[in-house]
Amino acid sequence: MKTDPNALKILHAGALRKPIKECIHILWEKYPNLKVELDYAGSRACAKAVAEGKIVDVIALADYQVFNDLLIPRFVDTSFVFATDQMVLAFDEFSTDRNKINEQNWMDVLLGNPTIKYARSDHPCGYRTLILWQLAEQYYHRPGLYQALENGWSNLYPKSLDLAMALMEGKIDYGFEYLSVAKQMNLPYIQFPPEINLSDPRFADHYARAKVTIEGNYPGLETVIVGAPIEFAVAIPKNSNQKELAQEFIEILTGPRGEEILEENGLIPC
Amino acid sequence: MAAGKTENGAGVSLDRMIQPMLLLLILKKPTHGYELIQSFNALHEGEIVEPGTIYRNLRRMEKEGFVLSSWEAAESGPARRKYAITGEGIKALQEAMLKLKQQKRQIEDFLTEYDILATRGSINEN
Repeated sequence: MKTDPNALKILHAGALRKPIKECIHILWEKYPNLKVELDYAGSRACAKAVAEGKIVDVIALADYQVFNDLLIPRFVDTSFVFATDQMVLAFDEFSTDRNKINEQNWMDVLLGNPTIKYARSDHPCGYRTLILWQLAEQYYHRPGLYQALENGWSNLYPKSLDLAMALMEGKIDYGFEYLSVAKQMNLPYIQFPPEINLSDPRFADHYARAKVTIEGNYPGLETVIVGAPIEFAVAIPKNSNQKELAQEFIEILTGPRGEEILEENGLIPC
Repeated sequence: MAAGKTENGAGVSLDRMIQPMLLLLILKKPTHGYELIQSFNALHEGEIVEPGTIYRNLRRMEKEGFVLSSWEAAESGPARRKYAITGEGIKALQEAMLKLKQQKRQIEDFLTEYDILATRGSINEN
């Protein structure tokens, strides 16, 4: 795609689509003619694109660890944590057994009915789902739960937003999702206890007991992801052509108006 | 614990002790919300306060001028918003302390009166 050299280029995780767009509207109050090029993907895909030479001015991801893993120090100096979230089990008003499922029996409902389709998205929402399943196995004292859930999922979507769309379209019944995305898409959801929902720094050491291995930065390499509280982060890549504008955008996102927007979209500004 | 602000209306909210506790922790050591959540709940074992409630109170106190935040980059991690207490915050903390002492006396007086009546056998459900 041909890009405008004067445009502010923002690349972001799909889960941040709505709040990022709303923050751009605030920037347009000051610069009504500013061109903004907005692109989104899964967080790891965003980071890989920048590492492979894509030029952007702002990159906002669903996990600061992705910055550390793929972009710092070569492409980004520092990332800034600006919001937190939690994992939930989202569904739709037409999902099978929606009236039966609750915070205690969700795993029995998902695994007990072979017609039910449940899904996860790719990383980082994907590895957070796997970590949640591991923690659930311990929390509910259900040996083998992780493997059973891992063997039973039906679909894998590139982004948490795609997962939410699939729920709305009835392609799947249940999806392991960010609370913010479920709220933005008006999906009903079940909340998990803080011991497993990756929302609470008090449980950081507990979350860290869960680990998943994912494909690494290069073919044949693997990366171990350790469980941690969910933290969204933003940065200005070193090769940005619009550093001052990028900084202004980040100040909006992390300032009082951005905080209101994040809160309205189900995230917790921090 | 009674909810509400200190008498002149300029102080911190005493609701669930969240703001005075946060100010006390920040006075001891300026730090970021992530660490405050960990130390807050360690100090306040009786009642678990959700991370969102702590972050919201930090932002509210910054709007009211009791704390000031700035970005602090960690050596091997991301930059986080670090909170420091202001002069207004120290004043608000002192006001909260006086109000809490007053509430403590009221609670002690209430419990003393109750114990006296209970000892006399004057408290009877029937």
